[in-house]
Amino acid sequence: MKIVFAATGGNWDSKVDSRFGRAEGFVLYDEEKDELSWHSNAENKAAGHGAGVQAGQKVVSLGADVVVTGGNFGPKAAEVIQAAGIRMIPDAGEVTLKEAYTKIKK
Amino acid sequence: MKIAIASGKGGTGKTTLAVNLASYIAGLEDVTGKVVLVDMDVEEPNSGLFIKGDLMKSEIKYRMVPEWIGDKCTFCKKCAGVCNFNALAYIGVSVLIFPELCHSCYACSELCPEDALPMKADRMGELRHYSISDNLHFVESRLDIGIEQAVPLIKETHDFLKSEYDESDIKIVDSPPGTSCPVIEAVKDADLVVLVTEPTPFGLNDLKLAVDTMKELDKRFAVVINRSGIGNDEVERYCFDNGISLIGKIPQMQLAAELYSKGQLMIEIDEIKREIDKIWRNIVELK
Amino acid sequence: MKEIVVISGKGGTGKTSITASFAVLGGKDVVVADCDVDAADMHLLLKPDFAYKEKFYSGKVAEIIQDECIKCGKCKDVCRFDAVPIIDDNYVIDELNCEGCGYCSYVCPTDAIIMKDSLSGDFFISKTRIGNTLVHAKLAIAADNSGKLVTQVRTEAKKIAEENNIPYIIADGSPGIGCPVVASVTGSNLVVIVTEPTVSGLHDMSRVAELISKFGIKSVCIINKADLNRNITIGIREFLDNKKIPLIAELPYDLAFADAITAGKTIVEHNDGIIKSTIEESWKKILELV
Repeated sequence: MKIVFAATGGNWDSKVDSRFGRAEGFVLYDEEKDELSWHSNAENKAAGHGAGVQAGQKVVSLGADVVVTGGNFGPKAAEVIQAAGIRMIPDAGEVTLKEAYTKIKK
Repeated sequence: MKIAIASGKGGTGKTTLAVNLASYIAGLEDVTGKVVLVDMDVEEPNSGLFIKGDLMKSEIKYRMVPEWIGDKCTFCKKCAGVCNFNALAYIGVSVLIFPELCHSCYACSELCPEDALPMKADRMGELRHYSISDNLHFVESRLDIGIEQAVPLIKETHDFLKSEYDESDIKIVDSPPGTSCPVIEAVKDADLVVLVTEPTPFGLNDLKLAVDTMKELDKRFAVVINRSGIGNDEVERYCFDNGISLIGKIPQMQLAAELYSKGQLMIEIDEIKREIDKIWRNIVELK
Repeated sequence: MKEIVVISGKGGTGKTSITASFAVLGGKDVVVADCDVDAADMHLLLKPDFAYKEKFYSGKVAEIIQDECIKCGKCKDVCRFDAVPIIDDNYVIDELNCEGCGYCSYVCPTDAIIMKDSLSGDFFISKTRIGNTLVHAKLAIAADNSGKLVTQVRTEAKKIAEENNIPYIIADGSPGIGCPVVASVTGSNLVVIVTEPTVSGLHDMSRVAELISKFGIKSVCIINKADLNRNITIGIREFLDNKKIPLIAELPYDLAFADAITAGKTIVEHNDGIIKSTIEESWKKILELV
């Protein structure tokens, strides 16, 4: 399974970002390969409108099965993610990626 | 004649002045032709709370947005690449369109090599046209919730005025607050913009922003002070020092605030009626 | 770290006066964020030092490089916004009309049109006269208030709070129900709605409350000028009851608000009576609820 976290940094101790569309970036965790990769969201953070759409598109292109954010998905981001059939987990809270991952696995 | 009523920030009395001024001049004998109150604060139209009449016409307003034809699409992704507003998302199996983000620039539609994105009409809001009395009309445009672009609906409202009314009819436009795009569209072809402010440091700060905007647009403008009597005289001094016409001061009165709270007109109060009359005479002289 | 955002829907309800009071009551325990970037007034009461300033860009605007233009007129043909007038025989961009869509730049055969970042305001980080930090901004004239500047203000406030272990952020939210207000409330911990008992106050607050509930954020309400119209105040109470939004305070209609602004002070520094104690009470309740 591939899990994407909205995150403020690129390692397990980084915090889950409470924003989605304008999150600092996204961390992709590929369970099979046990690989963590960082994907900056700088271009969307700086977008005028439609940051959610672009961020959603990015998550889709990363091939995610599940996507996690600390707060809520905006309505437009949610529409993109849903259309691609990706599972959304909102409200993970202000926790580290490690904590969020452990919680999901339970 | 078109007079736009505007302000740097909300809550200074813009709607109050627009509604009372329109009602007042419609009752004047020396005013020939129609008086039309126009609410162009399309995101929060509030004039209608103060003025009631018979609905003459209601029109749904549309703008053009692309529609994705899946059968024609070859997934070249060109559309998502050209859209500067992030209104299109390519998600592998389909192209999603977000009409609320679309600015109707036609780029995706006309640059699509397969004609898979024809433009179609999409509802953005509604324009209502009321008759209040023999010579007072009211036009209100209301943006649908969730639509983010106010400018196209304001444009449509200007077009409606052009088609329904003569140049000589008096249009009083209640503009959106602030200094961003919707205000600029609302005051576009006004003969005079009346900026409403309060005599406090907040009022002065926001008035300065509004004045800068009018100068940038090269617009004729004048100032009305609402709730005159509170605060200090710095707004007055600012107008004087900068050669800005101060065309009226609506006095602070608890009774006026109470009438406003109920959605009633303030020209019931003689003192305020006199000031509205003075404002009108000054507008006629200036425009 | 908890973030409290004050909003109102309609302008002129006393939102900024009340937010600035909370900023004073919170003192060193709060970072203050002014998200009302279209009509930022908080600095008039908190007297910041504008210590840090940076330019803020958002969106695009076209520019035609005259040396490379062959005057084919394709840009003018495709532009839907009347933004390509011909002046002195040259095709030029009218920046006030340009939407930044970039269509002209895609069709230009000589690549003579570039899309530049559009300057849309200034961004500041300041120390206030009471010693806490204020993050604020000023939108440029005719700029598009997209919510991006609001987001930047909030992000910076959060960073400062985290780095200095400051427990609260108090934010003056944007008016209306559009993009900027969404950007001011998403992901916050508590929204304080300030309203007034007028037909427009009730109308606008019900729209804004609907928006907040959509985002699932906890909210409380303060009715300012509550004695101005008893009937509408009762209407607002019923509305809040229905929506399960706690009413934490009712303030009287009082010219002391305008007097305080004129004196360049917050209402809690200017008034010694019921207004001051009510706002202090509200601040305590907010801290309990958040």
